[in-house]
Amino acid sequence: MKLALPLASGLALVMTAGLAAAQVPAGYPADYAQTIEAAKKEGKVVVYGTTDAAAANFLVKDFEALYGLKVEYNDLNSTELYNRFIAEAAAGQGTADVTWSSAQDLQIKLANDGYAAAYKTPEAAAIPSWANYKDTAYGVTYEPVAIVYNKRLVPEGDVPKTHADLLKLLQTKTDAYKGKVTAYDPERSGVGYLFFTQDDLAFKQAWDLFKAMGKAEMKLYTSAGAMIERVTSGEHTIGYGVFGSYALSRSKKDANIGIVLPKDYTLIASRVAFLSNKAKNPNAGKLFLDYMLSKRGQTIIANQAELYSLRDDVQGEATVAKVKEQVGDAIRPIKIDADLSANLDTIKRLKFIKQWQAAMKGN
Amino acid sequence: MADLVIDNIKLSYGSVDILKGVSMTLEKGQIVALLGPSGSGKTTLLRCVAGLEEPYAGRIVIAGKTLFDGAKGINLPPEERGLGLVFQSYALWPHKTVFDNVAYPLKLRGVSGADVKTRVAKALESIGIGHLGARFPHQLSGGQQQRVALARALVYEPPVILLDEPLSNLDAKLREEARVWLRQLISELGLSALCVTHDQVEAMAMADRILLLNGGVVEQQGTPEEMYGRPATLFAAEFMGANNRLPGKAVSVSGDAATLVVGDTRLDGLPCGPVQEGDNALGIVRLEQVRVAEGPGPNRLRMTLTAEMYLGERYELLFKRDDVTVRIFSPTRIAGGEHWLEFPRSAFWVCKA
Amino acid sequence: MLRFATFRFAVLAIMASAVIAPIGLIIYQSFLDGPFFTPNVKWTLEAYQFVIEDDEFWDALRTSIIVAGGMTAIAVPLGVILAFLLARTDVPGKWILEPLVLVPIFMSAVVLAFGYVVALGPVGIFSTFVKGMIGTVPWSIYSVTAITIIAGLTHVPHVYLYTSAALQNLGADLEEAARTTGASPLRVAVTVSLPMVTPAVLYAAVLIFFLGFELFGLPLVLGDPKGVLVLATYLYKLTNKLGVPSYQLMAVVVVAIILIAIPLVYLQRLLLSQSNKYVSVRGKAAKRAPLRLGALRWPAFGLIILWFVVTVGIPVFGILLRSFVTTWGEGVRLSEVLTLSHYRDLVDYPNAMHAIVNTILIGVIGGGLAVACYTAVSLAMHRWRSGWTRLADYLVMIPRAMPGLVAGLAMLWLFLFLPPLQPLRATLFSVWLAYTIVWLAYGTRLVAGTMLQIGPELEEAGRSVGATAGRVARDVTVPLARSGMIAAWVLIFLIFAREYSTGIYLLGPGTEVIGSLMVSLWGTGAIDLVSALAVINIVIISVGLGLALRLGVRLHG
Ligand SMILES: Nc1ncnc2c1ncn2[C@@H]1O[C@H](COP(=O)(O)OP(=O)(O)O)[C@@H](O)[C@H]1O
Ligand SMILES: [Mg+2]
Repeated sequence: MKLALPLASGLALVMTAGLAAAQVPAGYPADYAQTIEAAKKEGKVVVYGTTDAAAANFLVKDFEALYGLKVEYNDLNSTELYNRFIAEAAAGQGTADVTWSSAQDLQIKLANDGYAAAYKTPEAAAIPSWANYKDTAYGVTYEPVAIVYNKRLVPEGDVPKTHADLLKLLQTKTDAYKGKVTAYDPERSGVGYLFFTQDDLAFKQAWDLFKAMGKAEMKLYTSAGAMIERVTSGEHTIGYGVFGSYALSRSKKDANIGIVLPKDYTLIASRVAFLSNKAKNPNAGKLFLDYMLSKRGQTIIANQAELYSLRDDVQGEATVAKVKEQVGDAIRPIKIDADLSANLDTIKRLKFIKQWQAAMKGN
Repeated sequence: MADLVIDNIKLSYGSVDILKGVSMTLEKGQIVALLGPSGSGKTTLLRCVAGLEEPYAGRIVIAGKTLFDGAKGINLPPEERGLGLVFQSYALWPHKTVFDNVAYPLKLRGVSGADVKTRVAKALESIGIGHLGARFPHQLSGGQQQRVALARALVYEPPVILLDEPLSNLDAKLREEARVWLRQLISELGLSALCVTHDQVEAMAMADRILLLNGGVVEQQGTPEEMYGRPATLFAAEFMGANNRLPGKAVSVSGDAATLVVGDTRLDGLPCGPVQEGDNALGIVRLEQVRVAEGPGPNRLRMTLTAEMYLGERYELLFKRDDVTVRIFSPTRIAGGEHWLEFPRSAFWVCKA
Repeated sequence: MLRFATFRFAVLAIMASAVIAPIGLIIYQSFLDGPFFTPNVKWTLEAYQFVIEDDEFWDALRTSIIVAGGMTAIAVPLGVILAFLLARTDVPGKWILEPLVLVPIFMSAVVLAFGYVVALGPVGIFSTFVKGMIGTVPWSIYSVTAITIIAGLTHVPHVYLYTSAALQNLGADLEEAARTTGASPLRVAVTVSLPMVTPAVLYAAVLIFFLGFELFGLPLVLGDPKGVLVLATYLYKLTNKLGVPSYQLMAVVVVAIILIAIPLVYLQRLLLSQSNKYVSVRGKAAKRAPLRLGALRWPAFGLIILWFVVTVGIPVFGILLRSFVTTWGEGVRLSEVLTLSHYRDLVDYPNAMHAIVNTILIGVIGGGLAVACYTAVSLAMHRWRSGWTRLADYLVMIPRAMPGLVAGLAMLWLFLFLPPLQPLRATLFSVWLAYTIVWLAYGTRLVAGTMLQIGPELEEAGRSVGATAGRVARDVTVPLARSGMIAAWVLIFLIFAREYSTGIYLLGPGTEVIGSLMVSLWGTGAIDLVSALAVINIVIISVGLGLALRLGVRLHG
């Protein structure tokens, strides 16, 4: 994250804010002015997000400048967000107006359980259909799931360009990579579970890969921090299934981190946002959701927050175009649909985990 | 009228009975000594009076005011009893100066600032530590601390003051001086005092009356002279002074006379405690009561001098015969060999062994 | 009298409700089939059944017992030795060693653990150095053994605190008597001093054993690579295992920990009543000459320093180094990757400054208020001959049975569903209350401990000259316990400054603290910022400690 930059750009944004304020964005219906009016009366919007405050702050500042509304941004991890949100909703004591979480499956479950308010965003047309769940929950980002590796320690020839490459590498050089591969733990991390079940759907030899990982004694963690840190130090050398956004911002500070977007298929994860139906500031919530999906918000997502924009019309570094440049059409967005919440079905889950545990033992 | 009445006080810690029904009275202006061996319950009784322990039965009344009544469920907290208590360890508050230690009870009673000053000064003055007001307790000697503790207990003029071994922390020489001083002070101020001690000499020197405790019961009470000169039990007899013990058999016990047979000799004396004819008994006689006689006679025993010790103002002599040992005091040396020792009938007590 | 009794019961009642509310909620939750606040939840024992049938639970329990037992076996002897050396001998450098010994208490376990990874992990700085010399790294810090050893070393201060307090209460004459009969200092320590402080040592041992069951940070970081689970990390895993957090399962684990705690508290009470027979505290503590160690002085000094270096020096060095480099590990020349950018980034990081200020606030002011509460509780229980104190002893200990993760959630629920608390939820007060409750056992022990050292006759003297129990508390007990209370304040400040997990659900914009910031940064991989923050946290804590010492606070004894 470029942390020194925002001062200057923030200042510039404040200058333009006065002009833009209260104006209905281009292409929005005329009655949007009333939403803006109502939002102004509400005065603020409360957001619970899993995106760290530093990245989210670019959006927050720009939004505040645009509408003159205060954003109360709460930075939580996905489990905390879920726990806090359902408890607060039940207590009726006020909760987030907008939740925005990388735990896609939990978000869909919340929407299905009736915690979300249906709302068709004026930006809907610009949003890919896989990122729109029943005009209620929306994917906001376009984050390739990457393989990271240690440039110092992994020879160029070994760097896996596809899932099949990785499978081959682990099968042929099992000993050299013993204990050197790392991933999110599907048992302890929701993200890990999501990614590995998606692999299961996308890759024919997924279970061969998992078994090879097991034979190579893959180490499993619960956070990107633990994984990336150990890859850069060389304790492990290949990190499988890491959010491309985190890898990207880390690789800029640390020349040792290499990033591969697999060419056979690259999963695209997306942080899902919806409006709470218990919102105290429903109109301000709408404004914030629309803003995140708007070209202006997405441009910041692409260039400052580095979370990857999902709009085709946004230019910059972390964009759809850049991902396609690397992997062509082998992109595989994780569809934001009802299947996701089926992911949470206990029986299915325990079955997958059992199979997984067997694979980790190499059989 | 009695200042303090203690009536049949009983106290236990868990299942252990500590006080098994203790009664006593303290007349106005008197000093009563609570005497007894260590662990006999003296401190506990004192603390019952002060309200720091709660008996399960009995009554404690001071000047007509009931402090404790087990049957009626009355138990005044310590602060409402208005007594003065001097702790064995003095319990001076280390964070307050001498002045503040003594002034505290007055402040609690809402005495005005100026009055506090004069009264504390007077109290300190009267016990001879007027110049120490600004010091902290740890800057005082043991004797000075004891005086401060006393001043603190006296300053609010309690009707009765309770002292727990007030002299035990002083060295021997200081203790004797303090004893006299304390006795005088209490009578000059016209106080009533209940004073715990385990030292019978101290008790006799200081007290108008002595209450002898043993194992949580009152063994005997009376004036020092009565206690010393006419003990009611073997325990009392042994506790109050230095004695000789002559083992033998009791014969012909009647109301106020008893005879002990030692070997083939009959020694007449007074019965002490529940002794009966035919009992194995002990003849008890104070060291200073035995004297060397010219020749044989009633109540005399022939014994051999085996050792002598020079004590400064007199000699202590040790006599033996078979398994009987007798110690006596003598102003002079005497020749070695056999002597007749006389045990005066009025000072010879025959007790059940 | 009456008024003080009212105070006692009021304090007991307040404390009881503060403890029972979250615990009761958790126990209630354990018997339900869903979150207690959702409509249509039913009573069931399914959660118990699930946990009991889950092999991982038993694995975790077994590991917890091993770790708890092992760390007790390490911490107790070491703590006793340190206490004896510092309290009783002429070991050099006491003035610096005494505060240093306490430092591990204030270090966040996650930070320590990460420091060990950087220093002693498979590619850690020291490991690669050793590997360069002998070809392999002869240790692994990811094993149960390593976790146990590190946990043992970091818990030494707890044993030290209790033992040195007991040693200080012990009459010096006992030891001097032994010396005059010809016993060497070591003999004296083993045959005279130790037996006398045994109850205190055992008390500490029970505490350490119990703390072993709620270890979280260390096994989280060090147990990760090999999947080692202890009860608290098992609980963490349960959050995800079924996809949706299942509170009832977490609640069952907490109930299990409470069930372990209860007999331990019973044991502690037993030991404490035992120790009263030994320790006789009098008004006057004579100045005593320390035992002369002679030739052993410097080896003894070396031993303490060695322990400190291994326990604190190495991991702090790891963290410190990490905060100044862009990368590290095998094949990295550190001189080429040095940077100050992490600290610069931190200055720009939104809320970072806020978090630092909040951390100091909650430590200093919150710590002070917490000590006031602990003082009230201690005063209320002080020399109270009543069955209620037994209840209080259990109550005080039980919050410790909730791992921070669950405690935080329970606190959120309370502030949400108890109407009187609702308005306070978004304030630092809620965070403070949560911290205060969770550290209740620790804080009240600290304060009650100093109060117990006051000779009872000093208080009785107050009563006998006419002061009510309340006045005595105000004019005698509290003033005499003041230095102990200030020490407690410092210790609680340091603990609050590193705490976060308890408040995690109560923190929001404006109320974040350093700990919560670290957690969220850790999640996104920004370990460079995490280590910079950790260093700042350590600096805050050291400054606090240094300041306190400069002001003449005695942290123990
Ligand atoms: N707190 C206590 N618990 C149990 N027994 C006690 C306690 N305090 C004193 N005792 C017992 O009560 C008896 C009387 O003690 P005390 O009144 O102090 O004796 P003393 O006559 O020496 O002052 C002793 O046997 C002592 O062991
Ligand atoms: Mg006594």
